Amino acid sequence: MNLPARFDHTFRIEVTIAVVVFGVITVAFLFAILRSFTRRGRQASQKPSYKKAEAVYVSVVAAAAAGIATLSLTENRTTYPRPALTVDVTGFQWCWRFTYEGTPVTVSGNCVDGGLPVLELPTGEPIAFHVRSNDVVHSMWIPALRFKLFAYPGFVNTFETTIPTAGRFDAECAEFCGQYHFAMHFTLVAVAPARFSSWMAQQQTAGTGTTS
Amino acid sequence: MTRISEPLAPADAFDPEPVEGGMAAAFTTTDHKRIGLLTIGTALALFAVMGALALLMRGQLARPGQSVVSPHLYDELFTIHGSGMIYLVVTPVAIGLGVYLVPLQIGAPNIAGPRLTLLGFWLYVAGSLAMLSGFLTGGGAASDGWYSYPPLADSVYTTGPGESLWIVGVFLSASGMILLASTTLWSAMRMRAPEMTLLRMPVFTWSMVVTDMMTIAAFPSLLAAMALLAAGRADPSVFGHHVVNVAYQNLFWFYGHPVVYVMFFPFVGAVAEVLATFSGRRYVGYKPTVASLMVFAALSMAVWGHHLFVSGQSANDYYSLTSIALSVPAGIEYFGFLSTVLTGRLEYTTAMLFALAFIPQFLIGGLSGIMLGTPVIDYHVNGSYFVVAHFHYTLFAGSVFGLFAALYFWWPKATGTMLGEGLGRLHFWLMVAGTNVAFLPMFGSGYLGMARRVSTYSSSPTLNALNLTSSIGAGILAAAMVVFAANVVRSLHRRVPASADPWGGQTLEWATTSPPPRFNFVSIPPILGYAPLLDLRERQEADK
Repeated sequence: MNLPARFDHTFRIEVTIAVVVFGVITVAFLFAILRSFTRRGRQASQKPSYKKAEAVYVSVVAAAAAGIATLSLTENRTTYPRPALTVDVTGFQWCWRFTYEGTPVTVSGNCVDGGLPVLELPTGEPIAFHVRSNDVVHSMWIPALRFKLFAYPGFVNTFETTIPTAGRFDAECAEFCGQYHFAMHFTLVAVAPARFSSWMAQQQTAGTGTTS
Repeated sequence: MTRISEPLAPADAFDPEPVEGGMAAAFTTTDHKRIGLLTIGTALALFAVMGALALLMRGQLARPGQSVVSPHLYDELFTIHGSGMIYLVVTPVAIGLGVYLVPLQIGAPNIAGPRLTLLGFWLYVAGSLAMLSGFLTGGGAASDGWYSYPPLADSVYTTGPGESLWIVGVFLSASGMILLASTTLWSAMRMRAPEMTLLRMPVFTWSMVVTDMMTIAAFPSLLAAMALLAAGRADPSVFGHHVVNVAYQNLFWFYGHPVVYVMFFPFVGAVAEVLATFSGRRYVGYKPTVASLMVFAALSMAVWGHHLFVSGQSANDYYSLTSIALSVPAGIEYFGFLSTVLTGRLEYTTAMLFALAFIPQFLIGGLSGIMLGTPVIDYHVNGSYFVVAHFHYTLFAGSVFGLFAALYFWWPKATGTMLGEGLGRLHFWLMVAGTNVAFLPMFGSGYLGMARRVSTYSSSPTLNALNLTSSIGAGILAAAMVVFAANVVRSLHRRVPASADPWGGQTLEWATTSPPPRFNFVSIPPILGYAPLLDLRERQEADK
């Protein structure tokens, strides 16, 4: 599942619809104001309703709503290919811990002092995230992936994605979780699968299991 | 030809403004007009406080890495600003407008259950004091946001009395709102003048009827959520169960979405009245508008899960469907607005300017709301400044503009004096500038990855510029509010007397003196439609 592509597609369509609707209503609105300075605008109609026009208008609005709802539901379909890698994510006051499932490798840090954890991941491969919290509700937000998910205590939430492009991306907690919520960031580093494999091998031979 | 119905009370009951008893009488009144004005006045005073908190926040965020306020104080500021605006300002002022206006618009001498109504006001005052008194305690005021999710809000993660006082405050003020809504709804159902059928009630009264129904249906869920939170503060192990945490979120949002429309519909109704009056015509599409309000209110009870799209615990497709469906009744309301101004004779009073600006500005809030109702978009922008921009466009660019339209429109009726139109226009244009300069950039900062409820952000040229622009907008809004305050003070000092009907009004409140006597009407004109005074004027024209 390419989350950024899915977001971009849907967002572009809805922004276009929004701009068109805003444009049409603004034109009608400005027309009413301009008309008020003309001779015709000095008279008020007392016709209590415009039934035909309203029926046509409501049909158009309803059709647009049906279209948007269809788009919304279609794009929200998810498929789960077998993940190449599973990362266990734990949010806590106030930082993150990442464990690469099936390996002893764990990454954490001290967010409040600026020692942000670095989550290294391969591009192009399906990755599953198991998200939980040690204390209060957090929300794992990776803006570059256009996705976030709540981290609850006592429950594991799951999402799955591929990372389309390599790079360093800022990620953060998006649900208020106490005094240092603003500091609760981490860095996502996406690299080519070959580089990721060698990084992983290096971590495992280093044997410490924890980096920060 | 003008039929005058029998007086509804003894003649001496109509002496204007009995003053015996002074302050004590003013605060123990059973006159719906005074209770309404006390509610609106309290809400406006608190509005100034909440605005000051917002200014402090925008000061802190004007540049990254500042220490105008400490991180903890910042948390108190956004919590009390948000809680205050929702529980103590916009909801009470919306419901208070109904307490004042509904009996007048339906030709009733008072509200049903006036003592119960007075109790509602005092519960609201007690709740406000409880919530704000948190600032005087050692740990400061509540700091967990206006929805205060557990387990963060339990007594392990949030120590000190601020959060407990917040729970008491929310509980009391919400209870007060349920009482005010109940007596207003009761009045509209049972105390209408003989000829005032349901489908002759003004659009504003209809908007209050559906608002009050939503209040009665949704606010008890908030009381339950507060009881759960109180239990969790007494025994934090309550929130050791995942299901309880999710239950709280659902109980909260079962209230938390309908309340958005409680804070919106009365202003749709007010804007409709102002647009009709200053378009010199009947409001267009009365029946479809009434039907759309009812459908909107019914749907509003079935959309709360869209606040939990990113929880992984919500039936996202269902809530997306119901949320997007809201655009149909909302579209019908826009048809009424636009066709009224397109076929009317527009008169640009200050009230009309605010009502007109409501149309495009609220639309931005509505259209971004469709995006938030789309799960795959919400997964990115939820919890970010995009959401902050969205709800300020609905509640500030929408509801607060509707509120000022209402205040400029009904001020002469309530006080018997006129507000200045010159200062009013200055107030209006500063509001338009400040609102859009403050809130439009927030769509950008949220999209770029700025979470809400943060006291600082990582420095980047774009993010810095967007935040500085928002802070400048907040400054302009502060100037606008000073102008409004000056206008109010000048109006009460200079006292330019208002006639019974300074605007050519269409509904019954304009058929009595300004301000109205103790029991509202000496006589009630015939009621043949939803714009009875306009009907009367037309018949008088025809008789000539």
